[in-house]
Amino acid sequence: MKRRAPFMLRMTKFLVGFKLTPIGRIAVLGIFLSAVGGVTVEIPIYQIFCGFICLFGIIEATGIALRPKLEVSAWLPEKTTIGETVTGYVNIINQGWFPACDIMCAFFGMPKELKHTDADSVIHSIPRGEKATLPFTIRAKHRGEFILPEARIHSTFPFNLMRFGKAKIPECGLRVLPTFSPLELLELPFSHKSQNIGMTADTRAGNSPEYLGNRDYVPGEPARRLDFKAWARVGRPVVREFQEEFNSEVAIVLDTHRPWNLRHRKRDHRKLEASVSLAAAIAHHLDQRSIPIETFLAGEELHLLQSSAEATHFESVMDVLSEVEFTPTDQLPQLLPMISEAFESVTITFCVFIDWNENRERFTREIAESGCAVKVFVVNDGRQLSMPIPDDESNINLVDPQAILSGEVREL
Amino acid sequence: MNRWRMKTHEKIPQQRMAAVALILVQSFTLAMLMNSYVFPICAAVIACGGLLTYRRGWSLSLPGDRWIFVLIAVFVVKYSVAPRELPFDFEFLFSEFAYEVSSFCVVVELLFLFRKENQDKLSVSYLAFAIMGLVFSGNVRLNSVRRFGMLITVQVFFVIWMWFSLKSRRTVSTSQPQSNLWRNSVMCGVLLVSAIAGTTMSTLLHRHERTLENLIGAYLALGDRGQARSGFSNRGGLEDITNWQSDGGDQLALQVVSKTVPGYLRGKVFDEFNMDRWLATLPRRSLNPTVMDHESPAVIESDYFYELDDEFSKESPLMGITPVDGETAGHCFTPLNSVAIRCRTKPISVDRSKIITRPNEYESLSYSIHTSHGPLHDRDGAEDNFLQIPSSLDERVVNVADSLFANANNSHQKIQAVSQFFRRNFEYKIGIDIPNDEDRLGYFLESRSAAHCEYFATATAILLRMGGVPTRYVTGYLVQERNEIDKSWVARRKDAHAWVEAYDKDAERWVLVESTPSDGVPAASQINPWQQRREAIAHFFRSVQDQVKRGNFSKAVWLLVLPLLWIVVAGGAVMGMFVLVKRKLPRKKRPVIDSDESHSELANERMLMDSMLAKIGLHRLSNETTTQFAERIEMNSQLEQAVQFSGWYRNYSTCRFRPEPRSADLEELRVQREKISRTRKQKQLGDHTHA
Repeated sequence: MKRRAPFMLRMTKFLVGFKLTPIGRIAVLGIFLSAVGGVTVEIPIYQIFCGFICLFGIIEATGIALRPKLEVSAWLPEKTTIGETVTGYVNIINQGWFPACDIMCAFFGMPKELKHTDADSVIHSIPRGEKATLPFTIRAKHRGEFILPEARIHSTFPFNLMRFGKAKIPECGLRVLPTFSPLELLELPFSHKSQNIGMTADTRAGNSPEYLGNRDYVPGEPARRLDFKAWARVGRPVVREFQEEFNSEVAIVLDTHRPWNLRHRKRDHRKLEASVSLAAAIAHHLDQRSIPIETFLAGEELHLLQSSAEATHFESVMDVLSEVEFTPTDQLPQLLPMISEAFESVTITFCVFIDWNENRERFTREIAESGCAVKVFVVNDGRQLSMPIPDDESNINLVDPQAILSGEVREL
Repeated sequence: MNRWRMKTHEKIPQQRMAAVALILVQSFTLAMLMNSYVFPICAAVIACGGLLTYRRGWSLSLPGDRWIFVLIAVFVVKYSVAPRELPFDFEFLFSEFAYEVSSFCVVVELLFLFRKENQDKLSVSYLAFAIMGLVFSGNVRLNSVRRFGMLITVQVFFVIWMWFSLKSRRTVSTSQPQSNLWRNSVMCGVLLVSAIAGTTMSTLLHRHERTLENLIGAYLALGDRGQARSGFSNRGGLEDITNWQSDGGDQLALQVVSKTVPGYLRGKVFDEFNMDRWLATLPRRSLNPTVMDHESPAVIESDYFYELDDEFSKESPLMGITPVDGETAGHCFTPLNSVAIRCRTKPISVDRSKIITRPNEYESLSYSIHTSHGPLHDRDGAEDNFLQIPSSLDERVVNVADSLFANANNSHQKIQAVSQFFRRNFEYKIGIDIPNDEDRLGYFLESRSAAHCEYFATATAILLRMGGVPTRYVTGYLVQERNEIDKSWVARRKDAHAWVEAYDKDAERWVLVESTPSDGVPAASQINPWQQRREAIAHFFRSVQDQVKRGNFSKAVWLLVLPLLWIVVAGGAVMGMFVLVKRKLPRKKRPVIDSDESHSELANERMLMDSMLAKIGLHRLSNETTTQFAERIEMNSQLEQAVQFSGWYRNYSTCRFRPEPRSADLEELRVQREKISRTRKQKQLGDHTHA
């Protein structure tokens, strides 16, 4: 059973966290400072103390007496991207007897990755029974799925020292997607199973081999391939020739493994963000070319996406990428037997690794041996690699994380 | 210039105008309260210029917060190095420092105005510096006119503060009509009411300060009281010593080992009197131990020796003082004629009046004082500090001084005149009722009210100063009580006292002036012998503890072992005496234990007879005498030979308790028993034959 925090702690959190505005906190600091000097009336600091005490007392009494009674409803978009601002709106109806003055919106316990940029916006007055709209803007500093805490619509009337009112907006979610620079060129590796050009008009359900034409029968071929109607027509045994058609179905593997290490946290974090950004750029490029992504392996999570000709699941990939974090254990060797079945229908695999080592080399080799074309991007500046990248492997590319983050990587 | 020039602004935001107004108010406060004019005027001009530069778009790039720390460093250097040049009329504690802090805050605010990063909007931390600057600028004593001016200034400051606060937000425009009239009316009303309430509260607080102070004093008297209220800190009120006396009066404060009566031991000397408070403003100097060329065996070797006066000699009397009261542990209570001190602390600090303090001395470690044989001479004379008179002195005090010194020509006569005046015309009483709007000294001298020692000492000091006699107000203990058990002198809290030392120019020395009526001077109290014993034992253990704290473990052990040795020796002596006495006393005759063999033979006979009767079924009880048993046998009608048996036991009884048993009697009993036994066997044999 969760133990309740002591009353004094809760009261302090309430006072500092909600009741006092930033200016109110400075005023309290002034009260304490003047109280020290106010121990004697020999010096006039006691006058400041008395002034502050009276001002605070009267503001509190006025604020309580005139605290607004509001009905609120809010709207906020569900998604945004890193660095972007998203604006929501609070519709406020004053249901009290008096005009609701100095109405503001504040989120308490906001995740540190988000920032309420216009917390100082105020509606000076809402007459009785009237309605007003208060916009609020949130800037996301980090990707992820966040719960916006309940917003309190309150009044700081008079003088912006304390907050009054209990109107709340319930919690809501906000997904922050990663940013990326779109690729102008992504070279797809060749695969025997792949068809790099052309578009299929049908969906996967009901797919059939493509009819190419007839040719003469070669002895030894299965008799079931004989086209008897054509034989009767042309007078010699002929067979129908078909070609199996494959879509270029792609898998993306995003490696998120980071050994437990207190050092280089900031550098490793930058590499992860660059990897996520690169994976998003690849997914976006494939989406532009209508190449479906069938499998997406991000860290320890394998996502099998329901592929179709119309949907490339770029949105799904972005949703997954918004929540990717470092994994402390290297799961690739353990995952390989399990994902081999999922990779049977995949023709091209893009691997985005943070490091290059034996496990990753074996993983890449086994995928390639299954008939799947592999292209590997190692997001590293080359100085912290566990193993050097072989020079003769043209499908393994070293990409500088800083170049990815600064948008310099346009062709891969 | 391009670096400074940014985009121009057509309109100055109200928040910025409020910020400039705050600086103007602070500058006015600095000028009004601290008599500083150059800096406030410059600050005000620069602040107004800030509005102009804002419109022109001139600004200075100061990113981050590091510039504040650089500015702090600059002010610290300035405060440490630059000479003090402010003409403070009514300086209070750390007023110079407060002035520097206030100036620093104004400079920070000015930089906020010119910062490029604050061009769009001023940070709310601006207000923190504003309030800090105002508070520190108020750290100065005021007369009534300036106090009133400050009262108005504070209210103006709050109005501007609120203006700044209101304009620190972004307004969201709405299509609805705004109720600005109602809103502004409420805000004006709040400001007005709070200004009135604040002014009233300030006035009431000032008017009823003494009542409040008494309440606080009463509260503090119940609880823990620190040095600030003990009368031995740098500030001394007119009730501090009295409060100290009444707070646990019987509690031991000092224990003194001295051959003579210690008398007045000084704890603190005050030189400046203002606003009914004494202040110790004499500079202190750090004193390093003096290298000695001779040793005194009476002191502890690990202590440092500090020579306070040239008159120290090897024969200077020694006085060992142990501070028992932990709250005054850092003070050194010393007599007026102290010439040297030995203590564990290094270094010590001493002021012009030879008041010694031991910084960082939180433990009650003892110290030793060397005193001169006679009064000490001070040929350097007194400083001007000891002639300071309060700036606002009541006229009644002046009148009393004039009347007292009309016929006095020299210092001695003036001292006598003042001392006699109080001793003849006043009575001692703890506590004095003075109307709120009355000057304390003036009322006390005019009404000749009964008062406590601080009033007498203060009035004496001020009157003598008015007569041109340098005086200093002294607080300490008057030590006269002796513990008859361990022959040490003790001072309790009730022995705390305030007196005056005046400089006798003719004798070139400081003399002690006691003007408190005799019943107010602490006297030696009668302590019952049991309490004296308890305190003597406590003093003994305190001495051991003192040695342990000093690291003199061998001496501590010796102190503990010494009484044990005495106990062993005394116990051995008592035992020896006891043995000797016992040997000399005549011995008493011991009772002779009967060891005659005939008794045991008698017992054997009886046991044989008992055994015989037991076979018949007749048992002699353990608590049954033989005579009683014989009677019981006779009463048994079923027993054959009952007469013979009972007769045997009666005979036995006769033989047993005969003084000198004879063998003939034993033989007779044996024969008789054998006869009974034989008769009984024959009878049994006859019965078997018959059967």
